[in-house]
Amino acid sequence: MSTDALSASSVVIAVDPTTLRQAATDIEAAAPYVTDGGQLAGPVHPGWECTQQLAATAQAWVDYLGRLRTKLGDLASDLRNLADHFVVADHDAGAGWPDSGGYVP
Amino acid sequence: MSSVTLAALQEADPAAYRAAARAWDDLAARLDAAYEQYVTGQQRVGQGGRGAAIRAAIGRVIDTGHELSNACLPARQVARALHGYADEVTTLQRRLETALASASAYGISVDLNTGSVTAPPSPSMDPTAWRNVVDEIHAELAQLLSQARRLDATTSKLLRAQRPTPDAGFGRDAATPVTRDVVEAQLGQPPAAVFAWWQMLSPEQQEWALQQYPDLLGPLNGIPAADRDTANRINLDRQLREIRQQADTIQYLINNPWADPVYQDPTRQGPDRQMRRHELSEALQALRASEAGLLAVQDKLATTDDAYLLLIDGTGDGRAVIAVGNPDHAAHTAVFVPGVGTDLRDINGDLNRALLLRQSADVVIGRGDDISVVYWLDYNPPNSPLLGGQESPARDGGAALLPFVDGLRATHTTGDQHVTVVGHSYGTTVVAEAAKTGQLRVDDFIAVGSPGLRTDHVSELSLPPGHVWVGLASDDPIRLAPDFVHGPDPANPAYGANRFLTDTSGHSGYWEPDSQSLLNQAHIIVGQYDNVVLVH
Repeated sequence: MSTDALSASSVVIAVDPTTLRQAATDIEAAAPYVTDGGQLAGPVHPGWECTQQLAATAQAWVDYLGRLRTKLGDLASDLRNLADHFVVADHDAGAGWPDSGGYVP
Repeated sequence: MSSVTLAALQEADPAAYRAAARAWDDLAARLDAAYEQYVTGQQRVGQGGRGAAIRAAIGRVIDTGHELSNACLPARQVARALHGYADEVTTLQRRLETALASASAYGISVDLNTGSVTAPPSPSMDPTAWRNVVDEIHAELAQLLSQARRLDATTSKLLRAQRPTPDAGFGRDAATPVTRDVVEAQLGQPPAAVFAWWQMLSPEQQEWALQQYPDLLGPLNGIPAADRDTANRINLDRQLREIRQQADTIQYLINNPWADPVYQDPTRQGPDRQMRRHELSEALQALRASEAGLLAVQDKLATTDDAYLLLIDGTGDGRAVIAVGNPDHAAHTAVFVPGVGTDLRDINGDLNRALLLRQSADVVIGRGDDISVVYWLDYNPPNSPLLGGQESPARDGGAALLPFVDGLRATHTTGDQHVTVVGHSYGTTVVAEAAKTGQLRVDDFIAVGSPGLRTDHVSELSLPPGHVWVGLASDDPIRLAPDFVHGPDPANPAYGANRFLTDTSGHSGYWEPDSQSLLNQAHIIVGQYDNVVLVH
C-alpha cells in the first residue's frame, strides 16, 4: 500500500487474536465429521447403467470430500496465521516506539 | 437408453444398494453435524475484530460455510434415489419370480437375456386359451423389462445430477431463506410429510428457520428432536421475557394507579377502581405462576443431561414435553403422560419419575444410549381429583398424543424403535382416548393408578393383543373411583389386560427406586416381556 493510500485510509482495525484462534479450532473440529466417503458405492451390476453412475458419483464425492476436509483445515490454519500476524505486527509497531517510561492507562 | 435385461433384473442385489443408501444417509447426517460445528467458528470469526483482513476472512469463512451446507442436500437426494431403487428392484424381482414360476408351471421357457418366450403346443388346453396364457406371461415380462429400464434411466439421471464439481462442490451461494409462509404451510400436515419437507432443506436453511420461526417449529411434530430443542429453548427464553415484561407493567400500574387509564377515566368511581385493582392483582398472580412454571422447566433442563425440550407453552397451567435421551436415536422410547393436577411448577417431581423409569430401563437392558423417556404434558389436566371425572381434557389430550407419537415414528433415524406409552392416573384415560381411535402407533401401553380407560374391555383400545399392562397398588385410593366415571377398573381380570405385580404404596409410589413396580415397567419399556412379574 502506498503512503498516500495509508494516510487516506480511515479503516478501524480491531483484532482479538484469541477469538480468531478459537474460531480456527471450531472450524478445524468440523473437518472430522466430513467422512472419507467409504461404502458410498455399491457393486456394479452388468446391464444396470445406474450402478455404474453410482460408482462414478461416489468417486466424485470421495475426491470432493477429501478436498473439503483439506479446505476446512487450510481455513483454520489461515485464521491462526492471521491472528499470529496481528500479534507480530502489534509487537513490531510497539517496538518502534522509544521507551516512554511506562504507559499507565 | 438402458440395456437392462431380465437376467440383470434377476441378478441385481437390492440389499447392497440399501446398504449404500444408508451410507449416503449417514454422510448427509455427518455433513449436517459438520455444518453445525462450523457455524460456531463462523460466528466467532465475526466477533474476532474489524478491518480489511477480518472482512476478507469473514467472506471466505461464509463462502466455505455455504459450500459445506450446500453439500448436505445432494447427499440426501442420492440416499433417497438409492432407497427408491432398492425398493423398486425388490418389487420387480418378486413379480419376475412369480411370472417365471407361472411360465415353468405351463412348460413355457423364457430367455432372460432377450425376454422372448418359447411355448410348445399345449396338449390339454384349447389353442385360444393357451395363446392367452402365453401372451399374458409375455406381456408381464415385457412390462417388467420396461419398468426396470425406466427405473435404471431415472436412477442414473438422479445420480448424475448429484455429482459435485471439483472446485466448489455444489456452489458457494447462500441458500434461499425459508419464509414464514412456507413454514406455516406445514402446520397441520402429517408428521411424516413435515419430516420429508424438513429433510429437503439445507442445514443453513434449517438453521435460519429455527432462529427466525421457533414459535412455529418448536411444537411441530415431524421436526427432529434436536432441532425442536433448539427452537423451544429460544421459545422458553422469549416467553419468560414477555411474561416478565407484562408482569412489570401490571406491577407498575398497581404501584402507580394514577398512570392507569382506568383510573384516569372520571366516570369510573370507587367500586370500579377497586374492581380494577383486584383484576390487576389476579392477572399479576397468574403471570407469576406462569413465570414460576417456566423457571422450573429452565432449572430442570439446566440440571438434566441429554434433555430435549420438545414443547414449551407457559400460558395457563402451562404445557411442556421433555425427552431425556434423544428419541430419534433410541431403540426404546417411553412416553410418560401425567395425570390430574399437573402443572409446570411440578416439573421437577414429574420429570424425576421419567428419569427413574429411564435409569431402571438402562439397568435392565445394560445400554444407556438405547433408551429415551419423554415427559409429555401437552394437555390441560383437571386441576384437582374432584374434577377428575371430566371427559374433555382426556379427549383433547388423546387427540394431541396421536400426532406426537406419529412424529416420533417419522423422525426416528431407523424407523424401527419400540414405543411404549406410560399413563399415570388421569393420564391413562388420555392414552385410552387416543388408543380408541385405532391410530395410536405404540407397541405397549402401561396404565398405572388408572381411574378407568373409558372402555369395557381391553380389545376396544385397538392396541396389539397382550400389550396393555396395568399396575395398581393394593392401597391406591384410585380403586374407589366408581365405574360410571371412566369405566370399569382395568386391573380387574375381566377387563383383559395384563396386570403386573406392584409392591409400592399409594397412588404415586409406582416409581420408587428398586421396587418391583418400577422394574416391571422397565422390562416392558425394553420389550423384556418374559421378565415382567404378573398377577394375571
